[in-house]
Amino acid sequence: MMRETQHHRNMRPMAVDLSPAPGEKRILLEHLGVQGIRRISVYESKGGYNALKKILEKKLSPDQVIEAVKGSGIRGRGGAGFPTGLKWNFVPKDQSKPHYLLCNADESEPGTFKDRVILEHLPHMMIEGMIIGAYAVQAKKSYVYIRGEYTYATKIVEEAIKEAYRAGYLGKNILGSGFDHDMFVHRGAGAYICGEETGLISSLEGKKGWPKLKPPFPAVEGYLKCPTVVNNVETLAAVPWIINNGDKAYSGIGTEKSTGTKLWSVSGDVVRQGVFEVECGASFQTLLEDCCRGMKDGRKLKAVIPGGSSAPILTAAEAMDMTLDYESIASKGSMLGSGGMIILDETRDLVQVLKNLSEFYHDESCGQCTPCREGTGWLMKILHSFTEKQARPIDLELLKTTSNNMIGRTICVLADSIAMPVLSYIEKFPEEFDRYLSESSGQSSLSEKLQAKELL
Amino acid sequence: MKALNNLKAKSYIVSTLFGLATTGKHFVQNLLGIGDRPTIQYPEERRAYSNRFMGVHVLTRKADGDIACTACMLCATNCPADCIHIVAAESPKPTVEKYPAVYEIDMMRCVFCGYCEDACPVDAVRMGRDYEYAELSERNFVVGIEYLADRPQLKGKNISVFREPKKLVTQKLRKAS
Amino acid sequence: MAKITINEKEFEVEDGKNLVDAAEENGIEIPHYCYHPGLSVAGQCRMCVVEQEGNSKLQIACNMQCKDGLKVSTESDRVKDAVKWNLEFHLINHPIDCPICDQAGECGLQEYFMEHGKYKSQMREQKVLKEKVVPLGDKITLDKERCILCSRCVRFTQEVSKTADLAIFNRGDRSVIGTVNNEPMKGNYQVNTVDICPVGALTSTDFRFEQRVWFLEEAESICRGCSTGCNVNIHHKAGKHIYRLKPRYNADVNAYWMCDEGRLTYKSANFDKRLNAARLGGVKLPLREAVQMLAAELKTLVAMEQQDEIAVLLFPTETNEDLETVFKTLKGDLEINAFYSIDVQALIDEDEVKDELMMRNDPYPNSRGFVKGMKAHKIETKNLQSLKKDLESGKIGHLLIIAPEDPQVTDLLAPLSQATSPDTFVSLLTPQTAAADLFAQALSIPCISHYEKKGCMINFQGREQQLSGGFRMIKESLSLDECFRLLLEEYKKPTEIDRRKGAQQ
Repeated sequence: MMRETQHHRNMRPMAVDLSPAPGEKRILLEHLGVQGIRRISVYESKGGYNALKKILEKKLSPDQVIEAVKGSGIRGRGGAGFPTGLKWNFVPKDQSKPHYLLCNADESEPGTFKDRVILEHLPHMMIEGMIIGAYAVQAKKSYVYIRGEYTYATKIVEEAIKEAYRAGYLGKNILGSGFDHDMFVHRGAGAYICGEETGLISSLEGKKGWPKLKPPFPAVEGYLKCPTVVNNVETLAAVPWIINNGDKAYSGIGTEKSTGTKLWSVSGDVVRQGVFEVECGASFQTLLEDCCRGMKDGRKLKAVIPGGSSAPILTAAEAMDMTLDYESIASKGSMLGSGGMIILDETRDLVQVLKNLSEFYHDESCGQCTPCREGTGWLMKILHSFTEKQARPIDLELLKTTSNNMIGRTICVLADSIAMPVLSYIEKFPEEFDRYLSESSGQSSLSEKLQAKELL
Repeated sequence: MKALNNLKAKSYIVSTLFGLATTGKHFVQNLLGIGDRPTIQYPEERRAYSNRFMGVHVLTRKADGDIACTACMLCATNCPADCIHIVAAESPKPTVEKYPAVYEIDMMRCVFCGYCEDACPVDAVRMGRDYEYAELSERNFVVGIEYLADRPQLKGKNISVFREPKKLVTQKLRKAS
Repeated sequence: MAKITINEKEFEVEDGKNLVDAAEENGIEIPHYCYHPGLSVAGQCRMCVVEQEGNSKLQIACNMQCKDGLKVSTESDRVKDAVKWNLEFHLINHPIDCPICDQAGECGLQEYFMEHGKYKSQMREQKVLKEKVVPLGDKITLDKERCILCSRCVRFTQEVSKTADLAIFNRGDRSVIGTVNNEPMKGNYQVNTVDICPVGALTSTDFRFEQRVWFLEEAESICRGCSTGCNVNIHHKAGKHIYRLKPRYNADVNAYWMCDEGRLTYKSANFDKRLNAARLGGVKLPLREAVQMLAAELKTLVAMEQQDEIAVLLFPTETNEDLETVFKTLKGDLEINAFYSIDVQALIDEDEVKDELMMRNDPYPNSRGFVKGMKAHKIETKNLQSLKKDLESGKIGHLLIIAPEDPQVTDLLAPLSQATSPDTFVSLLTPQTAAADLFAQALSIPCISHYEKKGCMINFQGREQQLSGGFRMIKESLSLDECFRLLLEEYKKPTEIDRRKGAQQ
């Protein structure tokens, strides 16, 4: 039943308030809310496809485009935060093999829904960014890999691509420049792991969505063993603005190392949830108080998960102290990630939250690497024993050792995505776990107690 | 002198009487059951053996009546006398994988060391308490499951104490035949 | 060549060689499950972690190529701890049913557990349950619970046998190996997946429950199934019974693999199929007497100058050394000229791979050696049709058959046995009862089977390969070499006829 309602919800546009909130700095979402902006005519009237025209008419070389993106300092908005210009630069310049550009629209991280806004409302911005990106890496084909559940968004993107073909922005000899490009939409089948760069490539190749060993990196050997660039929707959507306004304009926004703006999808116990575009380096209070209008029902903030469920949790004090950029959040021991911020108030039970998360990651582990395949299940089972009040004192230590042995031991970072939160929850909220432990029946046998002594 | 010699010659009577007294004492003791007696009235009476006594082997059964042995052959591997012969086979039961189709011990070769009992991971073979074991032919000393698990002396008291770990039983898939 | 440093010791290895292989070559074992030198790199099991200098994260050795200046440690505490926990992750959902598992004794989990294991498991939660005893066709039995999902078998069917029938289904710790709808696996190379399976997930249905592997001894030999001459290890128990054949690595012939048909060729060598005593017309007689009788028979014919009536039938299944003795004795000493066999040259000419990988048309293991031996002794063989004709016409007084245990040879002998008239004396050197039964009145002498033979055979590439069986499954049996030496010895002994001849002179 649940799935069905979820499915129907996905058939409809996302029901969030899209009007600008105080404290926002809208660059990408500038035209959000303009009537019919998802149609190419309206988009063009707002200056759409000017960036593409500028490149192709001024005959900027691909290298010049890459330099511009490099100069803007934009970093990948999907989670890893790798400089986009650098990534494009890694693609070999020779054309012995076809190059590909993939747009990662498989947004499945719990708490993240920022790409959905772009896909549903500003598809042409993403498409324009993709064409520019494809031109920069000289890719003849690009794919939009959309999360399977985003049925509504898929329709919109497909329609937008058709419009772009009709308008001559896609297809053969784009705007008379001699550059050919084709764009396709590929729907995922509902696996979180296919949002991982190489997992996405495997899935697109028609295989099981298993991440691939690195090296070789996708920029050298990716889709169909050809040089491939995989970029997030938000990253690509920012490219037209950078071309239009110049790299200096973009790097002028934000901090020195985190330039530009970032979309934050805020959920949880705040008055106004939704997607907000905030300048990098803005304070957390701006987002919480101005954009989200503070905590719901005036309750106290307990914890913040800043960058999607896989980011380590932050205490209220740490959150209040941070600014919204890569460095500041990293200095607090977490990460900006995808910008899916989850706000938890004082009524939230963090052990339950963690159990819930562990269930998700257990379900979504692809099963390729042993530490992740077995570890996610084990963590889930131990956390279950906490919530069912059957935990042993040694279980807390066991959670830590298990997590420590999962981090960095696998092909992709899905294992880290649950192991790091587990460690941070235990480190920052030990009292929550202790409460469960003291409530546990403590029926651990003598041998278990001895074992615990040996361990602790 | 003669009388003395005579007396000397007859002195054996005294020792004989002493001897007789000892015999008589034991006779009376045994007759009436007084004091410490090494002799027992076998077969009516039987000696109590140590708990560690190792007699003829017993094959245990599980609570559901199946042979507890899983045919892992650890007993045969450990056997210094090489007297255990097992033929493993696929069990017809859907929840049991392997069982011994043949489990034979050659009693003439066995040295009753008990290594098989030590080696067994599932308490399937034990050293029993029986020691009266006689046969008319050497061939009869090779005994199989019927004797080891079902001989009347056991009176069905050979249930394995090994408990399988608590888990749902996974069933075997079989070819539809 | 590249200079690499493992555990602070310098080694010189081939440039670009896989680190796991390079370390193994130099006596350093890096534990691994998913890596197999004959398959692509998957990097899934994460057992082969090493600490690389200049890299803060532990790296997997199987995805590392040796190049100059590579410095790794396989013994640091960090690596040891990682391997220990990795093994624990492998084991938490493994059923640990070693007593009933056929792999016990040669299981990767057992081996590494003793070496690197975390002896006290802290897992007390319910294990993931999966299907057990799933037959994937007639040759393979799958246990999904025991599987550690190293994907070696999947990669084998994709990369080597190209049947692509195995896959991993589901996600996370519910992942299982299987075929679509549990359909049977296809092809002639299925059992290789059992060999490369590091645990007891894939077991050979033929070997299943037959014997515990620690009772088995190994002997090196060459498969007798075809002219490829795959290198094999014979697994036998005390030289009394062969339980299975496993491929032995030879980069130039069979690499790590062998075909399923070849694997089953050991069956005809086992006791139930074997002639275990010499017999004449169904009556047993001592081995020595049988050889004496054969010598006497041959001698009588030679003495009567009727050696043209002696015919010899043999097949390209014997070792070069055996053939040499046979040809030397029969052609050289006894001056016999009538040799019959199948048309070996035609087999060689039409020899090519007949299945998906390497099984060849020529079903005999030593056709090249046979031809070579014939040429050396200037022997020409006639084919079986002419033998049949000659038998029917009564030209042949004594037919000496050297027949291996190969069932297809028995099929060839069947029509000949019908054509043989009672006047023809048939003597048979064979390891199998089936051939002896065909010629009920014959003098049968038990020989050793292919896998007991010692000697050399020449495969389709012209490569001379060694068989070093050496064990005797039947006490009263002779190798051809022994048999013909004994025969010659008996033959040369002066008998009644010689003495009379001597007296006359």
